Amino acid sequence: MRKKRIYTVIYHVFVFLFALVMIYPVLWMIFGSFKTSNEILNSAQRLLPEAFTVDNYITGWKGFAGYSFSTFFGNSLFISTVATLGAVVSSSLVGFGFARCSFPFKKFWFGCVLLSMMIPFQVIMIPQYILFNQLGWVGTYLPLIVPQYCAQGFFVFLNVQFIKGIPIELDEAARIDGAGTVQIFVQIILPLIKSSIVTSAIFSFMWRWDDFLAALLYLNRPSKYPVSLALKLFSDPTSGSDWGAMFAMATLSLLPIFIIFLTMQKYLVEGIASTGIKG
Amino acid sequence: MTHRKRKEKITGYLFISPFIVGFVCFISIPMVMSFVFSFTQYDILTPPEFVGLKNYISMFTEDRLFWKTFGVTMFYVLFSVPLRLLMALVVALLLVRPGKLSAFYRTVFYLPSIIGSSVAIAILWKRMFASNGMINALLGVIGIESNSAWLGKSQTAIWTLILLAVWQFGSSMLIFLAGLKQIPQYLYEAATVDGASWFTKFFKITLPMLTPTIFFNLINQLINGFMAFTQSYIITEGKPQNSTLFYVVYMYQNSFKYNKLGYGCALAWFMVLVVGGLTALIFLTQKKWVYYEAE
Amino acid sequence: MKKKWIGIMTTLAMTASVLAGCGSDGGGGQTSVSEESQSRETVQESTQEASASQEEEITIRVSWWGGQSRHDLTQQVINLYMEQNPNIKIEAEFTDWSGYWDRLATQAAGGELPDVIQMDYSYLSQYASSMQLADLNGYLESGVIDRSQISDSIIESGSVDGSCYAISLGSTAPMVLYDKATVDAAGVTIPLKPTLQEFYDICQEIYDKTGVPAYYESGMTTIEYNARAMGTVIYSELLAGNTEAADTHFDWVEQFATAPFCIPADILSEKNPQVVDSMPINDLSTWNVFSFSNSFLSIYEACGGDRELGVCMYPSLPDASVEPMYLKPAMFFSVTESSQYKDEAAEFIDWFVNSEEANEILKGERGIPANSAIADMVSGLVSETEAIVYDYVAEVNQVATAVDPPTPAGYSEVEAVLTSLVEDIRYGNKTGAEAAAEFVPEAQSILEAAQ
Repeated sequence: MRKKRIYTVIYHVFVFLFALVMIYPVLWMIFGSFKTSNEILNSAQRLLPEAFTVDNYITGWKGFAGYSFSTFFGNSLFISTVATLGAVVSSSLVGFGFARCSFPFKKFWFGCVLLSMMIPFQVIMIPQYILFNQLGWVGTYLPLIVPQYCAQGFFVFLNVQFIKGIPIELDEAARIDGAGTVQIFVQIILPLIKSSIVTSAIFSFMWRWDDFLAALLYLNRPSKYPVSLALKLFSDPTSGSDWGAMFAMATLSLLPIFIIFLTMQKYLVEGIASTGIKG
Repeated sequence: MTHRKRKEKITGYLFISPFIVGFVCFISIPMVMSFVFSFTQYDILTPPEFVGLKNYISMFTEDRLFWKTFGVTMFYVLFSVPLRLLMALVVALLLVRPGKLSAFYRTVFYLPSIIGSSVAIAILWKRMFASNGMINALLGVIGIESNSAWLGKSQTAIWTLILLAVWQFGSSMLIFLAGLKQIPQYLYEAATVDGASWFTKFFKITLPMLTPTIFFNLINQLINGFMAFTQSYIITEGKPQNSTLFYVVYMYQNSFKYNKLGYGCALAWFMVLVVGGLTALIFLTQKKWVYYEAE
Repeated sequence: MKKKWIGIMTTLAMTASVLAGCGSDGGGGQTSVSEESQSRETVQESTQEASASQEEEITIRVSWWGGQSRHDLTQQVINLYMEQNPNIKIEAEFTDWSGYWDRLATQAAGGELPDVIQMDYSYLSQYASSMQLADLNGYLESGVIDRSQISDSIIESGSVDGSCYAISLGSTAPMVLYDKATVDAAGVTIPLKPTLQEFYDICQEIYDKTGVPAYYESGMTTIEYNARAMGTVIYSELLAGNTEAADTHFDWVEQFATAPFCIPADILSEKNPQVVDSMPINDLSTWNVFSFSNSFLSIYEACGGDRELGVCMYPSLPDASVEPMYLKPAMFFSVTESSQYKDEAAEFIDWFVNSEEANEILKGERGIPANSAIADMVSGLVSETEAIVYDYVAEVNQVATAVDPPTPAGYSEVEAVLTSLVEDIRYGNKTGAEAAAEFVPEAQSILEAAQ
C-alpha cells in the first residue's frame, strides 16, 4: 500500500511538471493579452505583465469599420455549429457503410476517402471557387457548410477504425432477432462508437472555428467574417499591428473551443474505470 | 440470399451516398481541373496554355528548390510523426485513469492543440527561440550558456518546428484515449483473474487492441506531416536559407506568389503520388500487425 | 426531402461543371475561353439591366488591404460618401495583405472582382496586362477624375504602355531610419544623402564607438536603386542578361556582409527587417533600418514611441551617373474591367483622391496624397512626428528622378532568388561574384518565361 502511494506521488509530480511545461506558452499568450503591444514584442521572457490592462479587450472588441467582435463571434458560432452537426452525422453514416456493408467498388470509394484527405486545399481552391461561383454560392455560408454534410475523410476513416473494433457477433445476434441494417446502426453501433463521435465533434468544431482560408475566399463582406478571419485584420506588415488587441481577441476565441472540449471530454473516458491500466 | 445480397449492396451505397455526392461534386471536379492545369502554364489572370509535360520535366531537371523542399519535408515528417505519436501514446496511457485530476491534465495537454496555428503561436515561438529568448535563459539556469539564435541557423531552425509539432500532440492523444476506451473491460478482468502482470496486460491486450487506432493515427499524421503548411509559412517563412521551406509552402508560393498555378498543380500531384504511395504501402502491411475484432 | 435536395444539388453541380467546360478532355486553353465568354455574356446582360433602371440603388464593391486604422478610416470615408450620394451603396471588402492577393487572384479567375480594388506597384503590370483593369485615360481626359492637381509623373507611375490603370492614393520614398541617440553617442552626423562609401565608414565608426551593428538591405529595393544610379532599369538589364548592375550590387552586398559592423546573419534572420514589428532597430540589434517613408510612423511606434529617429536617403553609388532617389505610389485604386459601374467607380476614386472632406479623415494614412493641394492641407493636420515624413518627402521631391516602370511579371520569383543568394553571402557560403554569376542567368530565364 505504501509503495502504491509513492508511485501515485511520483506520477502526480511528473505529470504536473510536464503539464506546466506544456501549458506555459498558452499562459504566456493569455497574460500577453493584458500587456501593451510593445511589451508583448519586447519582453518575451516575462510571463506576467508589468501592469495589467484590459484596454486590449476594449479596443479589440470594437473590431473594424463598425463591425464589432460580437458579429464575428456570432458568425463563427453559426458556421462551426451547423457544419459540425453535418460532418458528424454524415461521417458516422458513411463510416458505418464502409465498415459493415459489402458492396462493389468499396475499395475504390475508400481510396477516394483517403485521396480527399491528401489533396492540398491550395491547389483545388481556384477550381472550387469557380464551381461555387457557378452555383451562385459565393458570398454565402453555403461553400463553408454544405461540403461538411457530405462527410469528411478524416472522420469517416476514424469511424471505420472504431466500428471495425466492435465484434461482428453483436450485429449477427441482432440480425437473428430481426433487426435491419438501419436498426443495427442506430441501436448497436452508434452507442458503441460514442467516443469516436465525440472526438469527431471536438475536432470538427475546432477546425471549422480556425478555418480562415475558405472564409477569406467565399465571404466578401466583413459583416459575414468569422473570428478566424477577423483576427488577421489586426496586422499589416508595413503599418504595424495591434498585437495587444489581437492577443486579447485570440484569447477570447479560444474560449468556445475550450468549453466544447471541457463539456465533451468526459465522454471520452467515462466507464473506463476497471481497464486495469494504471500509472 | 441473392435478394439479401442485392439489398445489402443498395443499403451500403445509401450509407456512403453523402460521401459520393460530396466527392463527385466538390472534390473530384476541382481535382480533375487541377490535374489538367498541371499540364498547362496558367498564371490565374489569363487563360491557361497547354505545355504538355514541361512542368513535370522542369520540376525534376531545373528546379533546385524542388528537391530541397522535398528533403526538408521528408526530414520533418521522419522526426515529427514518430515523436508526436509516441508522445501522444505515452500521455494517453498516463491519463486514461478516471478522476478529476486526470480530466484536468487532459485539458492541459490538449490546450496547446487548441491554439493551433494562430498568429499568437508564431510570435511566441519566435520570441521563445530568439537569441535573447526564453529557451536560452532556461539553458542559462541549468548552466549552459547559450545565445544561439535557434531560428537563425539552418541546422536548428527545422528542429524548432519539429518541437512545435510534438508539443501539439493533443489531437492524436484524444484519439488514443478514445481508442483505449474502446477496449472491452472483460479482457482485463479475465487477465487479472489469470494473475497477469501489468506488463503482460499491456503487451497482450492494450497494444494489440489499440493497433487500429495506432494505424489510423499513423496514416493521418503522415498525411498531415506532408501537408504541413502554416508552421513554415507564418513562423519561419522558409528561412534561413530555405532550410524550413516546406514542400506545400513552396507549392503555394509558386501557385500564388509567382503566379505559376500550373506548375504548382504539378508539384501538388507529385506529392499526392508520394503520399498516396506511402499510405498504400502502410495499408499493405496492415494485415501483419493491425488487429480488428470484426475481421 | 433531403434526398431530393441532394439530387437537385448534384444536377446543379453537374450542369455547372459542364457549363464551366471542365471536362477532362477539354484541354486547359479551351476551358477558360468558354468560361470567359460566358462571364462576358452575364456582364453584358446585367449592364443592360442596370441602364434600364438608372434610378435604382447602385452597389459598388471596394476592396483594400491594411491594418485596423486603415479599415476604420476608410469605412468612415465611405459612409460619408454614401450619405452624400444616396443612390450609391458601397460594400467594403477588406482583409490583410497576404490574404488580399490570394482572394483577388481567385476572384479574378472566377470573374468576380470587386469594382474598385486597391493595387500595389508590384502587381500593377501583371493585372493591367492581363486585361483585369479598366483603362482610366477616358476619365482623366473628361475630368471625371480630376488630375489638375496631380503631377504627370504620378499619373505615369500608374500607367502601363501609355494607358493609366491606377490612381495613386499616396506617395512614398525610400528612407533609412536610424536611432538618433546611438548616432549621437558615436559623435557622427549622417548626411541627408550619403554615398555607399560614406555610409560604410559611418557604420564602421558607430560600431567602433558604440558596438551597435548596422544593416544594409541588399534585396530588391537596393539592387533597383543601385541600377538606377548607373542609369539603368534593373529588370531590363536582367532580361537582356547584362551583368554590370548585378556585379556592382553584389560587390557592395559582400562588402557590407563581411564587414565587422554587420549584424550577424542568424540574428538578422530571426528579426525579419521586412516587417515593421520585428525590425532590428526596434530593440537596437542595429542602429538603422531600410524602409519607406510611409512606414515611418509605424516604425516609430514599434520602437516604443519615445525614441528619436533620424532619417536619410538610401546611400547611393559613389560614382552615380544619375540621381537614384525617387518617389513612388505607396498604393493605388484601380477600376476593374469586369465592373458594371465603371463611371460610378471612377467618380468615387476622384472624390477619394481629390476631396478635402475625405482626406481630412484619411490624413495621409496611405502615403502623402497625390493631389498637391490636398497634400498641403493634410501636412497642416499632422503631428510633429509625422511632419518629419512630410519634410523628408519634400526634400526627396527636390532631387527625385522618375520611378522605374511597374515591376514586370516574374518579379516575386526573381526577388526570391535574390533573397536566397544574399542570404548565402551573409552566411558566408558564397562570394558576391559567385552570387552575381548565378543571379543574372537565373533571373533572365525567369523573366523570359513570365513574359
